[in-house]
Parts: sequence; structure tokens; C-alpha cells
Amino acid sequence: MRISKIKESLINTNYLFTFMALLFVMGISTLLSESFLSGDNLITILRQASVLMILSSGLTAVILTGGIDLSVNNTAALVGCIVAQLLLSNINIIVVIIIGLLIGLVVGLFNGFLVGVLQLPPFVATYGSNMVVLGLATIVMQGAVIYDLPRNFTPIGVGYLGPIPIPIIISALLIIVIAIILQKTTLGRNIYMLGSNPAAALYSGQKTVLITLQAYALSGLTAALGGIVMTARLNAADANMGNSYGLQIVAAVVMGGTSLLGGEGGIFGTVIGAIILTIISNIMNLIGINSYLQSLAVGLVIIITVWFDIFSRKQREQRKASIS
Amino acid sequence: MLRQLSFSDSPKYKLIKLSNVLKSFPPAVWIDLLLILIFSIRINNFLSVSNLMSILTQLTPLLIISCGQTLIVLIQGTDLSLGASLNLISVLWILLMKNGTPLILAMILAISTAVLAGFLNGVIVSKLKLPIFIATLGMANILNSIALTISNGSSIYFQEEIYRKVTKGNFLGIPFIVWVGIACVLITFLILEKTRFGARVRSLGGNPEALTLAGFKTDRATIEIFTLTGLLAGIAGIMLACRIESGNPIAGNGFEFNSVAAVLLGGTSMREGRGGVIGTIFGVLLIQVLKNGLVMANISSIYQSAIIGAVVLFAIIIDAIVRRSQ
Repeated sequence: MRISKIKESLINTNYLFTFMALLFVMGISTLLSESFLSGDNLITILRQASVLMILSSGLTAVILTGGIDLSVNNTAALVGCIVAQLLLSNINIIVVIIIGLLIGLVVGLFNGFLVGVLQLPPFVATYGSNMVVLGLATIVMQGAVIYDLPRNFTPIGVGYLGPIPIPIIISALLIIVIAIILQKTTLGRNIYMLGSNPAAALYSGQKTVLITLQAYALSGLTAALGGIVMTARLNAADANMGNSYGLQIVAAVVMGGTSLLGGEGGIFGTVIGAIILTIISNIMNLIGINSYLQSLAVGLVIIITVWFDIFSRKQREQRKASIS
Repeated sequence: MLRQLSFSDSPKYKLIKLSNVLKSFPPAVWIDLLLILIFSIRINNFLSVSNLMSILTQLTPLLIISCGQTLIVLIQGTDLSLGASLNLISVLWILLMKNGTPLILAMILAISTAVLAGFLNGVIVSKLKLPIFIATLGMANILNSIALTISNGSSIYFQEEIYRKVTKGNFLGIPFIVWVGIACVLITFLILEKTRFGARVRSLGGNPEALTLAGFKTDRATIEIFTLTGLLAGIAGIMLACRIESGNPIAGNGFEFNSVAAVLLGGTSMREGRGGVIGTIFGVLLIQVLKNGLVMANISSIYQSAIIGAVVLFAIIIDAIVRRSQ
């Protein structure tokens, strides 16, 4: 009786399959390379995953509303490029970071305006703004690449606070903040409500436009923060630096069990999703697999995890239906 | 005796009717006309036959891809694997020829690979119930990875007479590559507009459950649509390889998104099963005319991406506003 209850609660946990995928990937990695489970390597993985986590954290809120934000990676690149240019002209670092975050906020609000006010399909709207943002980044850089950023800026990406890398601390704090927003605030509840039943959200008097604006603004802000950390980590800025993240950001969220239809999932799944994706590229580097083949593995893992997720969800629903 | 004046004869009615017809055109048509007008005034040789032919030659791979993308958008999805498919097919074709496979056989093998990728997309979407977005995203990763691995990440050059035959050789003054594009558009158009299958594709986007209840095999239709899209991607890959005279594992990057933009600019709707390949032609034309005009006007490539993005976004916004006012 009790075991079945535990089993029930486990199956009802959204993150179960994400956790299983994580354990599976870690298990295989441990078998493949002895150095995988070393403390150093695990810290490296978390440090590598931190930018991906930051970028996909705000996106989680957007996907929970049933939307999508395809402009995240290039918003990050634009912010990184502007920040680098401003730093080169000797502007105070705090001011620069604030300007960077504001730019992300503006892009996010613009996306929210297109989706919420103009009612454009989110995929189309954010893809369009993605093109514009990438174009702006190219204009900001004038086709060049900036190297060697000021010494007081780079620690954001490569520094340590005691034994812990600063980017890990930044992403951990951000994830806690977003978890609180999603779980404990009215905005969070509204985001889930809008995603699971937009009509009900509208009829129950929720300001759906405002919720949409806030979700996309959040995504823009985290994209900006991710861009700043990314630039500091690379110690360089390039208009195309967001390319390598591209659709990985969406993959991290979706692999974390957040449904693309909205209303289901959460930030902790995204964290695990980002870690799984990073582990895959880490282990392939460790055992010396051609980097070209890494995206093959990522592709397969995305398809398999999402399929598992959908499969388990269907089983849960059938179980619920059979009970009632 | 007073003649009864019917409302349908009144000039006001005709005006309303005309404005409704004009409004039903996708925004791409107007923006195309506007762009062509601006460019032909500002740029000397813009309307020359050779420049128009070069625009047509350049737009053909995107046009063929966008025909397939139109079908996918009609079932409310976006095939993100098409760009990767182009990459793989162009590399595979050239590599096979380089290793001594006869040209036609290599072409058939390469195109079959694209068809297989499309078929797998269809199976993953219909049988495993994955969202189209995710299934094709995963497939894009897989295809890109194979393309990069077999080409070792760089362009593959192989001298072959066929490139010039396809892009320069012509029939009735129009290059063969454009004829291939026209044939692909025609076939997609006929399938979509003249067959019962096409009519069901439109309703598949709207209400799949009703179709299932009516005895329509939605799974099979989905697989067929994706397979057809794969076939078109394969043909486009060969055309792209002919145009750039090599196999390039990244030349197709961005085509998946540009094709979505072209389809949406052409007025095909993700919500109502409305639109079709004719509109898509105008969408593709918009993107290519803009690219060509900016190059001809000597505008630095640094600004091109932002300008194209802004125009595409602008067109999509206008479309949304016009549609809502109706």
C-alpha cells in the first residue's frame, strides 16, 4: 500500500523522467571515462552549464505561458557586444552592466508587445526580432571581434568566490529568484494559468497581456545576464557568439519536462536539462569524440527524452482517467 | 418608371469589393512591388534581364524548400530540419561523385537520404506524438552532425559539368534551375489545390480529431507530407550544390528560418489552414529581392541582416494588423 503510494507520487513528479535521464547520462559517462566523476570535472560541467542555465531560465517562464522566445541567444550576443564596446570606452562597469540588462529588458518587452498586444504567433514574432537583434549586434561590432576585456569585468565569467566559480553562483542565485517568482508569487501562478488554460485566464479577469509582457521581459533580462556572463567567460565579444547556443536553450527547457504547450513544468527541470546537455558535450570531449558528432548525440537525446516525457504524461492521464 | 438600382451596381459596392480583393493579397505582394519600384529607381541595372535572371537563380533553392515548408505550416508546424537537410544533401552528392559514383546514381542516393529524413520526421511526429518543432529540431542536429562529419567541416570541391548546365544552361531563355523551381511549385500547388489529399492537409491543421473520426488516416497523411517535404529539400540541396559549385556543410544554415519567414510573409496562416504556395512565391521573392537590391546598392553587408530582419518583421506585423481589422 505504502510502496504503491510512493510509486504514485514519484510518477506524478514532473521531473521524474528528467532525473532518470540525468542519472542515465551520468551513468554512461562514468563508464566511459574515469575522470568524469572527479570533483574538478563536475565543477567544470557546472561552470560550462551556467550560461546555458541563465539563458534558459527566463525562457522557461515564456514556455510556461505557452509561448516561445527564439531571440534569447542573439539578445545575449547583442548585450555582450554592447557591453564590450562600452567597457572599451572606459565607462564604469556597474553602469555598463545596468545598461546591458536594460537592453535585454527592452528586447523582452518588445517581444512581449508583439505576442501580447499584436497577438502575433510567438514563434514568428521572436524569430523576426531574433533577426533584427543579430543584425544590430553585427552593426555594433562593425564586423570586428573584441578581445581582452578589462580585468575587473572578466571575473564575472572566470573568477572564483572561494572554491566556487562566480558564474555558478550567479546562475544559482538567478534560479532561486526565478523559482520563487514562479512558485510563490501571483505572477508565477498567472503564468502557469495562462499556459494551461488561456481562455480561463482571460475570463477570470487576468490581464493576460500584462502577464505575457512580464514573462517575455523576464526572458529578455535573463538573456542579457547570460550575455554578460558569456562575454566575460570568453573574454571576447563577437556578433555571432550566440550561434552555438541557438536551439540548445529551447532544448534545455523542453528536456527539463516543461511542455511546449505551456502550463506544465518548471525551472528545476530546466536546470537538469541544461546539465544533461552540458554533460553530453563534456563526456564526448573527455573521450575524444569529434565535436561534429556531439550534435548527433544531442539530437537523439532531445528526441528520446521528449518522447519519454510525452509517453509518461499520457500514462499519467490514463491512470487519472481510470481512477475517476 | 424608376429603375431599381441594386446595391451591387453601386460604385461604392465595387470599391468595397475591390478593396477586399486587394486586402486579401498577402503583405509580401505589396512590399515586393514597393521594393522593386524603389530599387529600379535607385539602381541602374536592377531591372536588367541578367539581374532578374540572377535573382531567380539565387532564389530557387529557397523557393523549393519553402514549398515544402508551406505544407508543414499548414499543419501548424515548422520544419526546422530543412536547412540541415540542404547541408547534408549537397555534401553527400558531391562526396559520392568524388568517390566515383555516377552522377545520376549519386543524385538519387542523396535525394533518397532527404526523403528518408522527411519520412522519419513524419513517423516521429505522428507515431511518437512529438511536437513538430522538437522532432525537426532533433533531426536538424542529427543531419548537421552527419554533414559536418562526412565533409570534415569544410567545403568539398569537385569539378563537374552539370553545375553550369543547371545554372547557366537554359530553355526558352530561362535557366534550367528556375525550371526545376517552377516544376516544384507547380507540383506542390496541384497536390495542395487539386487533390482530395490537399484539401485534407488544410483541414488537418484545423481539426485533426474530426478528420480521424471521419475515417481519414491522419498519421499516414502526416508522414506523407513530411516525406514530400523531404523530397523537395533533397531537390533543393542538389540545386544549391549546383549554384555554389561545391558541397558546403553550412551553406544551408538559415534556410529553415528563411523559408518559414517566406511562407508567413506569403500569407499562409499557422492558425486557419489559409494560404498556399502562390503566396509563398511572393514571400521568397521579397527576401531575395531585398538581398539582391542591398548588394546592388552597395550597402555594407554589416547592415543587411538588420535591414532584412526589420522588413520581415514589419511585413508580419502589418499582416497581423490587417487581418485583425477584417
